[in-house]
Amino acid sequence: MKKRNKIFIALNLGPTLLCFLLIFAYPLLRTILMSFYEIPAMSSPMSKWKFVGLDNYYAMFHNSLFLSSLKNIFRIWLVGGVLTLGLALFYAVILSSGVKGKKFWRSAIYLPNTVNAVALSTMWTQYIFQTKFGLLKSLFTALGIESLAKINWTSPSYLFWGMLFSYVLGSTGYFMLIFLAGIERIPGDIYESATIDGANGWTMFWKLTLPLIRDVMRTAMTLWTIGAVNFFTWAKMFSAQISATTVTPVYYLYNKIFGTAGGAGMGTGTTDVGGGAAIGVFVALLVLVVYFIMNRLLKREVYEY
Amino acid sequence: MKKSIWKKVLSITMAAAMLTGASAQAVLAEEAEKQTIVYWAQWSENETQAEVLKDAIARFEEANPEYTVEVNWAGRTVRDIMRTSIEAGSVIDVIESSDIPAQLGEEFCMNITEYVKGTKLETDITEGMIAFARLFTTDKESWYFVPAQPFVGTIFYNKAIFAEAGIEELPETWTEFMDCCQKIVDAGYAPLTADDAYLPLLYNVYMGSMLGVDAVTELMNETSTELWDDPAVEQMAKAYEEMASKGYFAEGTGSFVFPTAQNTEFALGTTAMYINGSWLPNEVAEITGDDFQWGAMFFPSPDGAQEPYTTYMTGCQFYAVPTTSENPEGAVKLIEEFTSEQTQQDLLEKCQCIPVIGGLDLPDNLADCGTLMEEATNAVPWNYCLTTNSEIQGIVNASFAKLIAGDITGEEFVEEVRGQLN
Repeated sequence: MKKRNKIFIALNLGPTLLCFLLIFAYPLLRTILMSFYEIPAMSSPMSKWKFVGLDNYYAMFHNSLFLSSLKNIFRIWLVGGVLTLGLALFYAVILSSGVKGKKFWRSAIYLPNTVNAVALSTMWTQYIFQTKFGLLKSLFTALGIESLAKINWTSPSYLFWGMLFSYVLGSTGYFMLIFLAGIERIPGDIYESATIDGANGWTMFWKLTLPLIRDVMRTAMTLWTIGAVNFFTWAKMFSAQISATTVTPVYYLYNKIFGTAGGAGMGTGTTDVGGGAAIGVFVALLVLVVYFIMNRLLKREVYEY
Repeated sequence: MKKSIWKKVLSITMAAAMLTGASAQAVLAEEAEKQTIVYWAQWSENETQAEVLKDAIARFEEANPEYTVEVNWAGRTVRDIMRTSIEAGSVIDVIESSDIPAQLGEEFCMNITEYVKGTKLETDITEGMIAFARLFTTDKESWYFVPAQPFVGTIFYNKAIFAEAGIEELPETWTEFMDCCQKIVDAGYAPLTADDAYLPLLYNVYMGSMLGVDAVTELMNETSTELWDDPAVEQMAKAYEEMASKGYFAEGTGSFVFPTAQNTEFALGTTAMYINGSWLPNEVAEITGDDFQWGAMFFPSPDGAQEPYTTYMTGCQFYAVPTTSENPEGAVKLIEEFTSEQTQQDLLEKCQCIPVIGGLDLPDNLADCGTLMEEATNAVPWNYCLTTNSEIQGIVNASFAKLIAGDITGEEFVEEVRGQLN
């Protein structure tokens, strides 16, 4: 019987384990190994690899573009995180308060998430931020706020913030749904008894809602962190050529591994697969460290209700 | 008597069956003998270029019944997968991409010099383009890369605006260029604009005119080069600082995300000049309409320029036969069809591509490009670089955008770039 059980367990776990080893463990170990070598191309055989020790890591931390990319994702994570999660929570609280047309507002706020990021970012760069006839320009001019109408959101000084602003608005709906689901599972009688006890909306939000969605908040922050660290599409769409203003580690990694197309056949970028692998390893470690820190800060205390 | 009739019927049936079987076997044998040529295109199947190439393939298969062509319409992303595919042993007989020399080089491309001998590739492709393709080879004479669809990189201008501004002679020197810009401003237009994707053209062409291709290639590849201290770099930065301060760039230049400047400034006729490649008229055809008066001119010579005024940037897409090809002879024949007069004429008419062979007339919107090519005494690679380190370009781009937006001075630009490179 015991032997049968073992066979049964092996048969059930086997395929999953095999997939894990092939799809996750092998590429992970290979990437770590690659980060210590100078490699001409992704598929170059190991005979063409040249061991360079920690040189790729040393070069990475002494490269101003990479350092800019770290600065950029930190700002995306912190500023974007506060804005996105704050806005998402704000919308979720309003929508869960019995506001009229809830379904419509929920769909409207979530709508940007249904549009492909490439299309969405193109809409922002080519229309909303357009300096002559763009949406923001027309809107602020109509409202008579000339100082805001004059802002060129894709200029070097504002490009990063323009990108972040559009990304925040594009991501809010997703997190709003997560928060909304968390808030809606809180039993209504808790709020009823709080109201009887004389608590106002503000107090109920801070003393009831927020503590009771603590685990949801933790999940949302983890998802946001992973998204921020892997930030790529928006950075690429906001800068046709890699630029210190918008570069992120994953964009930089992509550039290292595939080079930059000369656009017209010339001046094609050189590739550095080992350097790219080092960035990949660093990004993975970064996610792990942030995840660990957040686990420590937001301990898993699930309230029973 | 009846038996003999049946015998005859049976005999005839058997003979017919044998003959039919034999002919079917012959067809099967013929099919089996056909050799497959695998072609990876840099076009998607729905692009006009693909339609033209499909016709070329049909002609090739008809003229060479021993071959059948299997196409992978990979699109531009072929550049990302071609090297790994070849290294992984994928059989590809003809590959097409603009990035073949840099991504595959001689290591993954066959030396097809022997197969090219006696073909029309030797005689029909223009000498300039043959020489250009050989720039990327070690011995500068072997055929590793076959040029396809050349392009001209230069300043495109709106002839109607130039006429309205009273500009009769094209500016040849930087001083004349500044005068030209002022006249355009006086006429109520913006002289020049640029998208982020093409910013490197502005600084590289200026520095390239001063220092040459090798120096620009070094500037764009070496972080520790002392060339950033060269006075030519500062001269370039100050020249663009002056342009920004005098309002010679369209408002918003330095912040345009491609293709904003191209589509809403140049093509709509509010800005007079835009530096780009000869694919531009085709790209903006739906915006400009047929009335747009296309002009193309050489980049004006800065003071102290080394390169002659009559220099234009050029480049091309390439065909190559990868080392994994099992049929290089057939591959070269297919490339010969792609570069034949018929295919080149079709590409010219339907896609407005500059032909890689001589003797074909260019359409009106590319006529000036043809004239430039005829008048040119010097041709240099796109961006004045053979290769580019995108990290360096990223750093320079960010600072250059600020420079032409008027946010920093020329000196600050050089300082900022140097500070980030070291």
